[in-house]
Amino acid sequence: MSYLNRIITLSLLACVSMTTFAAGNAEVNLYSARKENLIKPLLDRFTEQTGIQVNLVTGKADALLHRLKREGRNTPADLLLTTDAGRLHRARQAGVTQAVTSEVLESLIPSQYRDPAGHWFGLSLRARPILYVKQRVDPARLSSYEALTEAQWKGRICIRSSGNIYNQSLVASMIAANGAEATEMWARDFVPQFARDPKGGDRDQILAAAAGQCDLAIANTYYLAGMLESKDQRQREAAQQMGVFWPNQQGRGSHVNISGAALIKSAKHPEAAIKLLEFLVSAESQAWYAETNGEYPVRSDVSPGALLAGWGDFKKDGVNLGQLGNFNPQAVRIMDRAGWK
Amino acid sequence: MMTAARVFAKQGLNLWGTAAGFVALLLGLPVLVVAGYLFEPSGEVWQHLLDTTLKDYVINSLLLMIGVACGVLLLGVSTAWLTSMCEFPGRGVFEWALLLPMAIPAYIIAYTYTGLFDYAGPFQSWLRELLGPGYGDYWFPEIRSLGGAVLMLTLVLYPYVYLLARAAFLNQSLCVLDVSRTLGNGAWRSFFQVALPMARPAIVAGLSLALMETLADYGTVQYFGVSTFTTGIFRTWYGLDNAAAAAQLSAVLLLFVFTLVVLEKASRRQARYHHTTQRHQGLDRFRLTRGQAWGAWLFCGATLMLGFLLPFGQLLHWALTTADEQLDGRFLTLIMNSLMLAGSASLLALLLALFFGYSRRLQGGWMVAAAVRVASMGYAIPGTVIAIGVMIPFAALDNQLDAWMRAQFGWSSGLLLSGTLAALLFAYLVRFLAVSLQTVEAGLSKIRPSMDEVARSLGSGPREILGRVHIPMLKGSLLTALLLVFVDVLKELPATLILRPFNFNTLSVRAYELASDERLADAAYASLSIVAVGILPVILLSRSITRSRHAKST
Amino acid sequence: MPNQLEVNNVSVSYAGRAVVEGVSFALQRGEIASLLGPSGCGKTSLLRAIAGFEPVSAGEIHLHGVRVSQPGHTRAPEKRRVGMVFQDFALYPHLNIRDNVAFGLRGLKAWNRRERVSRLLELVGLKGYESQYPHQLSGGQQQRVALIRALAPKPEILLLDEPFSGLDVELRGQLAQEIRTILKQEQVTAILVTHDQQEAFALADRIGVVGEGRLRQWDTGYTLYHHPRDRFVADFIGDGELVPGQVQGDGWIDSPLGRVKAYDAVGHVAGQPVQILIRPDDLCCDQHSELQLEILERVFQGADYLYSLALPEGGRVDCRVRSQTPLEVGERMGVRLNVTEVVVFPQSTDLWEADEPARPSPGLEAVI
Repeated sequence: MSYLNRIITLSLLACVSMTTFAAGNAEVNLYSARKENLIKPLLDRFTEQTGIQVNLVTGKADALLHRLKREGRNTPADLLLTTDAGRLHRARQAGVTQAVTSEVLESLIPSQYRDPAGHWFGLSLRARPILYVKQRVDPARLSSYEALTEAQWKGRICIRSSGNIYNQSLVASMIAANGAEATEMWARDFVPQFARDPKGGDRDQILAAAAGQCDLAIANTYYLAGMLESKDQRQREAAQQMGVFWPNQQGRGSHVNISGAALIKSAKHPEAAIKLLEFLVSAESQAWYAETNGEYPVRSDVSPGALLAGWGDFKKDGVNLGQLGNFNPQAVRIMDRAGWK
Repeated sequence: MMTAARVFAKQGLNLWGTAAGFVALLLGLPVLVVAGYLFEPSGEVWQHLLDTTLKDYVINSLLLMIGVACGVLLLGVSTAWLTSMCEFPGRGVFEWALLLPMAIPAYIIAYTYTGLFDYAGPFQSWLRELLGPGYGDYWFPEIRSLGGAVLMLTLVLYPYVYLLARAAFLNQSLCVLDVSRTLGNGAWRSFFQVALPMARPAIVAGLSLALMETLADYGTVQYFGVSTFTTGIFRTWYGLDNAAAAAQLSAVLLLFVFTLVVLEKASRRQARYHHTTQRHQGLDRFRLTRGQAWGAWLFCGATLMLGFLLPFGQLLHWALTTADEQLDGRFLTLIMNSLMLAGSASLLALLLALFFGYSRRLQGGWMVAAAVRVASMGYAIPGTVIAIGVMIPFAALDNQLDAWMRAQFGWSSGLLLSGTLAALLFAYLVRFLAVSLQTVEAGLSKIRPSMDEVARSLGSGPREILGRVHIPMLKGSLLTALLLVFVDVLKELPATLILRPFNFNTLSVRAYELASDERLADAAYASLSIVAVGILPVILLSRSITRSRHAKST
Repeated sequence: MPNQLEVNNVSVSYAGRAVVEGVSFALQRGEIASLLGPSGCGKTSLLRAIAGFEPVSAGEIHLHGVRVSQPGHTRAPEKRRVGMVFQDFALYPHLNIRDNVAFGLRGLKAWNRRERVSRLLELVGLKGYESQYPHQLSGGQQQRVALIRALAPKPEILLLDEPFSGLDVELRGQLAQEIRTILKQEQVTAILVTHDQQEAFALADRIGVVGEGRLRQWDTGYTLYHHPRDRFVADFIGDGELVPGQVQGDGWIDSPLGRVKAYDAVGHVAGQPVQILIRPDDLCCDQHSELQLEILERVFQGADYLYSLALPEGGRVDCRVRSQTPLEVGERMGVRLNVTEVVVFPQSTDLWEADEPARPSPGLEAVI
């Protein structure tokens, strides 16, 4: 070894010794698209039970995925957690994940909510039903997402922009069920039904409906749950005016997405990571999701809690969620062409 | 300048140009990486964009810029003129208070205004209760629209114009204004014919900062559902899963920015005059009539109300309802993290700005000038794009090194820079160097070359000149540069979000996470803290400008 | 005792182009000199070379017997003990008047320093302004502060670079006189760079006229005016016209204005066409003279009228006449030569042609 090499090695060692906080065994590094306050309490609980430290960095799913790809085999991440299946599928295609064989996970998570090869697992369900203003809408007139293009709903629908992943997934699920052509026709008819240009988030659609700007709002259920439990009186009152309608019950079922996680290919702590995954599908964690986040448990044997149960049981779209990732770019184009802002 | 360069060159210091070029290249790397995507085929996505949304992106971005330009000029220049040249009750308070909106991130003011004035908000609800109608029965401006975005950005960005225009007005030789007044021009005519043209370079500099921020804004336009270049970039990158096309859109954005930079430069070159008589006396402000004074008070008051008091009040209201659950030990860590990042980034940016400023002064030449331009491009580029641009070369470097180490020693060095605070700080520098550079250069230009030469003829060597002439004369500018970057970093979100290391959060990350989860009230506490932490430097900033003025006129 | 300043054959170049070429002169202690010339003639570069801000490309500069500049070696300005006053004064805005003046004072006890500063302020009549700031003073006051700041460390030589150009005209003459008194009182060796001959006459013992990078003539003001060595100096200093003539031998010249004696006839042979310098006061009005010239222009100058007269064979001359009953433009005026000797230049195709004499007006350069 040359003199120069030795100097470089030494200085690198010095650098590394300062940065290798991730070297110990009793820890797992998590890239999470789920916001800190919606996951941290569970992680703390995990650390309490197992003594395994969880290091967390949150961010937008696409950015995290990009970071993973760039960091390559040296990434410190062990797990990627996202709030939709499409991104997990994309991560698998990008080759940054690895398959997991775990009896616990396979037995507890229904097959349509996990990757057939075990590259990713759903941890909770996020449903996107049609919300209606109880005073002004008779839910009997509602039937499916497709039927929202009927003349009776003209100018009565509030929905957020097509830039949002929930809408992209919803349209992708329709492509999966009805084909691209039919979905494009539907989108063209759907956009004129909007009461206003899409803006704001899901809560804003509910607020607008309650205030009378529109009669139907399409939003994920946990937003409604969050509003019902909000400290803000205005939010509570608005949410209380809304009813939940589960569309497509006669057909494929209502659109659901998952939050889920994948084990990173070059994970340095795979055992701890799998342990964390198993913890996240434990009955205790699943109940916590429902209770705290207003999401549905991915396990059918865990009750979703009183509030969610109050909206009734419903049939869920059975499409394998990994597929939605494939249709996502196509969905965006369809919405672009339909003028869905 | 040329001379000093030659003398230094004799002493073997002509490394300046090369060094400046190298550092600029380093800082320009993220931009270049993004621009590099230009050459990657992006498929037929462009055709799709042309057919559908591109027109909206261009038109909305242009309208947004035009609107914000008009808005910040109107508010910034007029309040600057009123507070520096006219006397009316409350002027002393407005002088510093008008800078306060600077401490509020644009996306936060957007949340609060939506909360207040949206259809479902308390203001319109109250109107409906009062008047009784339902939706569509009355007209009310839609806050979440292009116009609303213009208003929001104007309200938080006008302080840039105000800050620079006021400094320019205060530094104008009063003789010139006096001449104008003795020629029978009233306050208004003096303003339009003399003061305004003379302050133009400063105003244009402020305007270009504001417009660059406008171009880089993502949070506000995204929330308001306005499709601009920035939102288009993300849509193309993430929604259409086409990084190349997204980067190409970014490159088009760069073209916008470049045009701005060139315009700003051209406008400054035309107006490069020092006053030869260094004579400005204590300000004799225009005395306003009672009616005029009320008008001035109302105008400044309304600006302050809309830009600061109203959003601040709303945040305070929300924060008070959620204080108990949001305020815990971890919150203190958030504040410390934010302060630490903003502090070190502003210090580093200042050092770099000084380095570039002096390279330019001592070496001159097109190479350094070009280097400085490249190094300050980042200001107008959305934080996310910069973050990606930082991540790519850093990770590539780390991985190259790692591969080499593995091959050489069978031992992995892992990621040394990626995912560390170093990468994050670097991104901040790329993004905000322009701010400190502009301030430092303005300060340096006040130290005329003859001042250096006098000092040398009086026996002072370079080090002594630095200590006895430059640092005392630059003090104000250095402080300004430091504080501006500090506040900017405090507010920065996208790059922080993407590049931060494990278990490291800041106030803006917390505010964003809660707000993007549509929990505006819960986000209020963090937002309020950003504003509160930012207020202090903003007040300091304003004070330092006023004080330097007083020191001169006593 | 060595000369206070010696400039030996000095050249200064920018990027290979010489802006000062082969200049030599020397100054005794206490002497005040001026470098006079149009803008861009190289005078400022020469001054900066003496100060040490520019390297020399040829020649040497000695200060008080010490070689400070030669090609390849330039002693730094801060090690030369030269005082410099700039066109823009370059007062430090962050320092009050006392601190500005004391800037270059080092190695003195605080009390001595204060003493020196207040003596200097007194010298220029600025006592009581110690704690004011530069922007609070008038232009003339700032000028004086800049001067005593440069004088405070008792420099070997004081260099003044167009120090009056930022001031109004009345102030200039007055200040030039004042400064001369101060410099003489303090026994300071000084060089003033200017494009204004009146300033140079008022301030300097010796004047060097610089044109196109060369020192054209190094002399007293009187000699420059009456015996310019070349056409350039003749044109630059004072008014006057070049009139064609012919050498007659014995040092006499025939000209359209009559026969006149040459100041220095050496080198001129009989029959040779030459040019002679006629200043406005070399002609006098004599209505009985045979020589009657048409009046082209008339300018009122207070005590005098300045008439521009057409010569019979083309060209013109000026004539200054006491302002009594004026003649009108277009009338004829009788004149005769009233000079013992005139300066003679050989006829040439130089820059200033004999038949179309260009008039280098110092006033114009002041604008440029």
